[in-house]
Amino acid sequence: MDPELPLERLFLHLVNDRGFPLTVRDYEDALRALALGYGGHDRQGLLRLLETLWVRTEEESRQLGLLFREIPFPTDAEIAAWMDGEPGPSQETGEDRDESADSRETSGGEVPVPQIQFSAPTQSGLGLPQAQVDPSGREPFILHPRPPVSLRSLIVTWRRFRRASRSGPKVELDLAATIAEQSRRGYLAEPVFVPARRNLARLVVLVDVSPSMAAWRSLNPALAESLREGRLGLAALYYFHNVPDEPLYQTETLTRPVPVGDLLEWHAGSTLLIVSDAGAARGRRDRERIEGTRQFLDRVSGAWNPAAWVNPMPRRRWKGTSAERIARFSNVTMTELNEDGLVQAIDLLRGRRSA
Amino acid sequence: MRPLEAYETVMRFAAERGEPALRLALHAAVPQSFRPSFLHLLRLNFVGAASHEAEADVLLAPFCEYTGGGYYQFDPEARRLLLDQLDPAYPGEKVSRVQRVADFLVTYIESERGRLSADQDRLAEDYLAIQSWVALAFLQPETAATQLAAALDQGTQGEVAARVQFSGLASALSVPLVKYPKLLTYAAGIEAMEQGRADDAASLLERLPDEEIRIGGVTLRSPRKLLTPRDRPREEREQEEQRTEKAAPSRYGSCFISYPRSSQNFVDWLRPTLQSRGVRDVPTPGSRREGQAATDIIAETVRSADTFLLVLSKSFRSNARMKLEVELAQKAGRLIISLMVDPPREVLGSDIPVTTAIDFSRPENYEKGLATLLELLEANAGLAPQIAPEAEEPAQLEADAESDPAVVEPVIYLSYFLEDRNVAHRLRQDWEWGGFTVFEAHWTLKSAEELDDRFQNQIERSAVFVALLSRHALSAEQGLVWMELRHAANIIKEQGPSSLVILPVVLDDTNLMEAGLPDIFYRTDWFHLRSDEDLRRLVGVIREIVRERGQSHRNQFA
Repeated sequence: MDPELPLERLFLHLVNDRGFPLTVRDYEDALRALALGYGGHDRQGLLRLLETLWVRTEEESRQLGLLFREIPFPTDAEIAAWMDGEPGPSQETGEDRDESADSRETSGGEVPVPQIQFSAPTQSGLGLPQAQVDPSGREPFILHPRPPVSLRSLIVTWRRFRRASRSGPKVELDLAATIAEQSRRGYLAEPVFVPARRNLARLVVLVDVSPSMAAWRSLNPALAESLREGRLGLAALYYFHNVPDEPLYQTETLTRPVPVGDLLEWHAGSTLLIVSDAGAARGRRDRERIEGTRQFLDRVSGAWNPAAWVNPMPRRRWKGTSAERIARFSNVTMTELNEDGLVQAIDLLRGRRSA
Repeated sequence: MRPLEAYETVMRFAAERGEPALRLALHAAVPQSFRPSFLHLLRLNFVGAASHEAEADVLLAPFCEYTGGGYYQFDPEARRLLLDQLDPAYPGEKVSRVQRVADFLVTYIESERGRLSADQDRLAEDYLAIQSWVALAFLQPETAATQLAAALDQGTQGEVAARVQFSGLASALSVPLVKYPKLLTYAAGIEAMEQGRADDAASLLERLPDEEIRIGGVTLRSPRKLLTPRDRPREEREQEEQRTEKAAPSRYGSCFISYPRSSQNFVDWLRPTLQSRGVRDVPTPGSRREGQAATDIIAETVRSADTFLLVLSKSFRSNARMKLEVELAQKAGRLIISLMVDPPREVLGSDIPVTTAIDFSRPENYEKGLATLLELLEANAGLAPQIAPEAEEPAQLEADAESDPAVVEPVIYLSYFLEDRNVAHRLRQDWEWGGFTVFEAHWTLKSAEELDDRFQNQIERSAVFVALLSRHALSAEQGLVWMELRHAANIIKEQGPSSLVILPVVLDDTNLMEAGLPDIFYRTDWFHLRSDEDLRRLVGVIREIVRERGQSHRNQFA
């Protein structure tokens, strides 16, 4: 029976059981790094090396860290053996830490009285006491939010919405027309210029910022940024509370109201995208909400057409709620708020029905 | 919530929203309060099986309350119940889930503090400080108890006592430090002293034995010693300070802050912030003297301030005490500045007495809002008219002020045909068990004379009007029930949809379209009661309506 290669079991576990997208080359890189003396002489050093070589995402880093906490192998001795060296000076750092903690607590018999800091009284004149929490020995955690649709996907989706047309000043050389002109005349009086192609797609986005949308509020900054980067002919973003109604607001905090009539005038000829749970989050069916939404859509459909609605609640949760009724309106199409749903919504706004 | 009610609510939540949402709620019970962003990270780190909708389910759960400024809090009983179930829900794990979530809380706090340093968001700083205590208390209860004792000891020494606060710490640590009841009571007593609630402080501290309390290496002074010698000089000091302040008028004058309990966090930030800028804060009335009416005390206090600050949340409409205070301020001619801690759209309306409103619904507005507020206070300082005390007594509000210090009791008016009394009695029983006051004419009124006077008043006082409708509604349009239906409809018509929530509950399959009910009943969704499961759902619906009574201006429900 062949002896087990270094890190073989760990590598196979990560690939087969944890779904890490690693290749044999990644494995060989790790072996080569170990042979060259990287990765230290202990588990912590090895973890840092493998994080550098094998980890691509925060979630993978967390999984690898947890794995190292859970499984006892490879031991520091094994790691040192792979590297033909001696075990490093800090074996089982966790145990060391515990012991030193114990000795701190037991030495002298008297428990030291902690000196508590109070928060700065600069602004208020009052300060809360600050707890002193030991920062050591934590497991790795994910600290970056993952919105239902990433900023990049949002930008890619908006860029899918194109109504390219040549408009504006003639600044682009039309090579074919220029050659044709020269061929026709036998000489070239002047090159032929045409206006540059521009995306004329116009999109008005209305976002619900009522409490039922609190779970998706983190998406709003990304939405605003993506629209700026989306290269649309017009991208206007407004907010409403619960039911799109008079007035709409320019800020998430529902300040700076704008009459809907003005918006219809400013953004005539746009398409409309509404982001709201339409009552699905609370699981309610509210006749007044349905009627209010119907009236709003009827009112704006002349100027903003077509209209799509992306709902962050999954379709199965629309049943029996106002969302179910609103989704059946003839002048709006409702999809789920995820990458596929957004693409579907944009295709609808482009005038195409995707699968 | 009472323990049984909390249990039922959590169980119903689990049945309706499923296991992933329940598991997320179990984890979210560790911090004392949380923001949606924290809940999101909790899901990513601990409940991978839950999708984004589970976050919405937890935030909208009946035991989860929005406390303003972007923070949410579980009902204390529900939180206790969920916490108790967190570790048993993950048997066989090497490290307990509670410990791991507390560990995560520490990491999260560090990360947030890094972000906060640039923002100078005091509310968020205090939130993180309290959560640090919570995390430490779950991770190392003994250490947390020792540190808290040390903080209490240092905070009650010399002049430092005037510059520290313990607001909310005792309640935040009540679960993880349950083994230290004396320490928690001591901390709650100090909190009460800091907040000027002398009676509460005395009551809490006197529960403890008159002896030193040893926690870890810290020896806390006897609570009696703390109370007796310090309290009186402090009272005298305050009087002295007030005299000095009166002698040298503040640039910003003085203000009275009227606020609901749910906005305590905001006021805990606002009050010291204003004080540090030189605004004199007239404390909320405390105990009254014998023979003195509650309204007199409030009126006197409101009059003694230059400006009336109304902390306006969506619960304002159901808060009798605040309404009384506003009325007294109006009568006294005080400038009312509304500080909106919920989004303006949710709190404003024709029935809200707003002279000037400042948006404090988001922490990022605080700095700007504070600057505006100080400008207004400065402009108004010294302009308040002097009114003779006896000219402004709203006698008709006396009963409300005395009977209800903070919250209007949720009242359901139950209207039904006598033939449906069995269902009605069962519903009544369920709702009363759920903590609601149920009024029904058949049961409560004894004579025809009483009918004319009282059922109308009771409907007007109610938060929800529940009409049980069945084939009996097809009979002649006369009798008590029809009077009730028409009166409820009239209230909506005359006072607007925010005045009463109408909930028609249909008991059978009779076609009621031709029954000739008032129009509002046809413009409102009907709840069909067909099974025991519907009965349980109905209690949830009612609770939701009552809970959100101040939040929605629409007549909406499931």
